[in-house]
Amino acid sequence: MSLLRCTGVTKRFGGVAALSSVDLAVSEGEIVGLVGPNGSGKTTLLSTIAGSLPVSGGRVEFAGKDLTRTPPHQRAQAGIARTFQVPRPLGSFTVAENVATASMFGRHRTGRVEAIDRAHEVLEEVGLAAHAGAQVGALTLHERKFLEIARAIALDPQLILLDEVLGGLNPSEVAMGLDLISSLRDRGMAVVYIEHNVRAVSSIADRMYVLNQGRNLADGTPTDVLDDARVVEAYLGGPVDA
Amino acid sequence: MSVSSLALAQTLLNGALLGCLFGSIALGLSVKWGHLGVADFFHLSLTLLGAYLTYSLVTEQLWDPLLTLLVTVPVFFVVGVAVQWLFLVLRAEPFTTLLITFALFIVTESVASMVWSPDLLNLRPRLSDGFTTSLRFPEPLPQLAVQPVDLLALVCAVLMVGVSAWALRRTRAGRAVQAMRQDADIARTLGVRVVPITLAVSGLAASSAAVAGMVVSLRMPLSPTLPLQWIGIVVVATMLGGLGRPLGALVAAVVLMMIQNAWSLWFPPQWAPAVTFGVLFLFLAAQPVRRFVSEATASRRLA
Repeated sequence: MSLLRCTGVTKRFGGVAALSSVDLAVSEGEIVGLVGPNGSGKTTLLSTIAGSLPVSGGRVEFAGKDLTRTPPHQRAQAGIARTFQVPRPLGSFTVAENVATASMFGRHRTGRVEAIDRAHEVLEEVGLAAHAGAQVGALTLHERKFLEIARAIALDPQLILLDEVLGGLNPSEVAMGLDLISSLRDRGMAVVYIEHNVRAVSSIADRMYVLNQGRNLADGTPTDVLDDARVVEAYLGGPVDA
Repeated sequence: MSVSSLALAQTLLNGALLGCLFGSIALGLSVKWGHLGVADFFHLSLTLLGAYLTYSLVTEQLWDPLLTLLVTVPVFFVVGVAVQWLFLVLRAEPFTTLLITFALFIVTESVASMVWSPDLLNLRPRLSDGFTTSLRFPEPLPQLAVQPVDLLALVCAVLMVGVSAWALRRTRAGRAVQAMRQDADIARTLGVRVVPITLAVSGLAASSAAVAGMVVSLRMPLSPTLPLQWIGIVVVATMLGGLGRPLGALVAAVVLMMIQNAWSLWFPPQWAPAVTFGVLFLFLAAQPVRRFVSEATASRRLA
């Protein structure tokens, strides 16, 4: 049974349909890559899954429950975590406090002291332990991106939605990030991973979905999807001659 | 004009204690402005209503002034929740909330005039000696005196500000409020229940107005236009203390009132409010410099 099942998800902003009847299914412990050209609706879909945006139509089911009308904080407590394309740390908190806040109000709602202990564990996992007491303003871009992941992990979710979490990083940082994302699957978490770097996402994804103009274009294994002529055309505007 | 050190000390002491009262009023405004993004002028009106309700319960029902809090605090909590609920239903932007609370501020003045009359109402003649007899300082400063009501203002301010500051820093709910203030969307995705917390914060801020109003009724004659006299000092203290920082607001109110009182010893007292706004102007003018230094320091650290 799928952990997450989106059926016919539609999102309209006035007369503009950002998503038109999009389907998506994610199983436990699976990394699903979500790719598509700019403006294809990837982030909008993530927002409808996390509850940040209400859907205009369709259904979002998680762990067998209908969460279509559930507010975002309840989805977080149910086990859905998300990161943002542009890191949005809580600026007046330290790095550890940012992560502890997720632990405090996430799935297991830990106490303050326990949350700080958990934050230090998570920061160790993502390689930010040395910055635990630092203000977030002192972090570099890649550290901020990893802080987003750390905060998501601290919610102790079953599903993590990653929105271009490795965008703008150099190759060695991307490699570290891919290892980190793979380790989430090893711990049984499911991941929906949006990334413009198709090579990066296809290297770790079990399956991939492609969106184009707010609609499902293709899905399947990374190899099948990347060989799909419709996908090539959506990205490049036409088939590539060898 | 020479002023004796004793007169100066008494003036500064009076200013500090009056500042505690204004700090109590600024507490609610600071919390609502800083954490909910609502520059709530109606908070000043609630303080006035708290004062009038205390006056009525003491003079008509013969209640002890402190006992009136058993009624006013929960009632005001409900009012605070209702006002914030209205903002949530209307999905009001900060500017809209400013307009609405300012309208309520004006309407309350008229309502108070109709219900309690525009005349000055003074509770002090009806109070027992325990509230009105000045207390002398012990040796070595027996010349200094304080009013028991001022001590009550001090105790209320310290208690309310202390509990608020502690709760914001040391409790789960406080952590949720701070997260919500910085980024409500992020707070939601981290599992924070933003709506109930918003309502509770607004209710508690309104409850603090009930306590401050009780002290006001004991401290000064009441008139519907009183909030217009407070608005300068309360708003400036709220801004100088840092929005959302109860302790900062209290300290700022105390310091400002000490400066205002000391000013009145040497200069015409009608200019005292200009001092308050002068301090605010200097503070605001210094902000770009402070930000530049802070960003330069952060850049050096990253380099």
